[in-house]
Amino acid sequence: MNVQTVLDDIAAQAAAGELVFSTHAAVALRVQKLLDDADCAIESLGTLISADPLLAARTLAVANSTAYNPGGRPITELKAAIARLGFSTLRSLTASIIVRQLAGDSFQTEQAALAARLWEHTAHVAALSRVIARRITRQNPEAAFLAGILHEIGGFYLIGQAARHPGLFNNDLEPWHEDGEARVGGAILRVLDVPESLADALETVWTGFLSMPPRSLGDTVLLADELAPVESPLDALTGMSRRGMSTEIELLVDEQTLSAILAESAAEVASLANALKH
Amino acid sequence: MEYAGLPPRELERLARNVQPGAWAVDTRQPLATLLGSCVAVCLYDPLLKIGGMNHFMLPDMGRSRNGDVDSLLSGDFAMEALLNALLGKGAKKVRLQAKAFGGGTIIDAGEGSLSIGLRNAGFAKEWLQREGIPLVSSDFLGPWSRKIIFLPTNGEAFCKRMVTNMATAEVIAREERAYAETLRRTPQASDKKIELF
Repeated sequence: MNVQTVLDDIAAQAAAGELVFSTHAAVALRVQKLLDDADCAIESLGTLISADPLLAARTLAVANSTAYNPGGRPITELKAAIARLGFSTLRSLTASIIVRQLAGDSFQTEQAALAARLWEHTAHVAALSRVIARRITRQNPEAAFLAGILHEIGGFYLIGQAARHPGLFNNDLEPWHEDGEARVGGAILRVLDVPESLADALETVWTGFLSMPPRSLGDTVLLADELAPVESPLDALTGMSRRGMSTEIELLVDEQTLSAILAESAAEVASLANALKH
Repeated sequence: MEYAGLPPRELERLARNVQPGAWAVDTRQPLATLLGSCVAVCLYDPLLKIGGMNHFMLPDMGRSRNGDVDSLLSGDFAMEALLNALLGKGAKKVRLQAKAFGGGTIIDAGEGSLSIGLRNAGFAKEWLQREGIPLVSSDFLGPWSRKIIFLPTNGEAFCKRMVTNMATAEVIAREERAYAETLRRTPQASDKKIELF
């Protein structure tokens, strides 16, 4: 199998806008549209979100996570959850539904396991991006959260397309790391009409050049990707896995301070990653 | 040409490449290098807006009588060459800031290969600490090769961790081996000049 040819084919299909959305994602897309409306009312959002059990459950779970509910007051009602999260976080949650479903839901065990692991990685990167934005790079935490949610959008699409290319994951996927991810991911972002600033940030992530020390939104997510405790399963297929080796990184803060920040934020990251996991 | 603000890929295209064992100082053009187990240190004077980069490794002097000392002297030489080149252009040591990268394990050949990168990274950190030059950011170790781009006009550095496939590993290892060989070579008669004054 020529991996490059297969990736060309997948990128062309994504660029043609041939994205198939499940019912979950269709509701999420309608919520996104409603959020774009300046007169959007919480009541209408609540009604629409409650039409999809997955989105409704995730909205409640995230609203009750330590990251958004440090005081520990549980919420059981959607309208209150929306008010607590705010519209930008809600946008990230709807994006999370869309991203996850790009991998499809009726695939082989191997792809199911890959998608589940990739989602676990995504949830960690999104949660960690939020912390790094607040504590280190001074970027907008909610924008970082959304960019983190979207950073593996090409990977989910790749998994969703694997059924058309049996044996794809038995090959060395290095071309995916070289430019495949940027081409497929970029095409999907254009189809979804993602704002330019967000697309630029994700381009930084996929190009892989981390500014040292990190500053931009893209740097924030790229750093979260490098520090995430759960590696992307695609890293092992592309040759980018850490293979258990240690690394040393110093940024705006030294390694000890960075470790302290990550340790302090571990509960917040874990709660948010867990809320996003299902 | 104004380099600041250009995306890293464009900077990479326009950069001057720093080979293993070499160093370069510039006030304009970006510098780039590809690292395996070697280390690159970038030094920058923010007031003079001048910077430079080297690319070096500590040679394995084996079990020779003064092997460890020779190895460290070789590292000292790589760092001092860069430092002196900057000072020669008017930079002040007290203003210098450092960014350093590399020390990866690109060919997994047991514990020995891991310690090569570790030794190179450790030396770079110790040298900077000894000379009182702050290390403001770094990315060391791990299984990756790294592409580094450094912009001497503003001290910006970009680090890309890269897949080390067989072909890349072979190219990097060949260049680093050739460099290591030159470090191990017995000095020629012409190299033995002693300058008294």
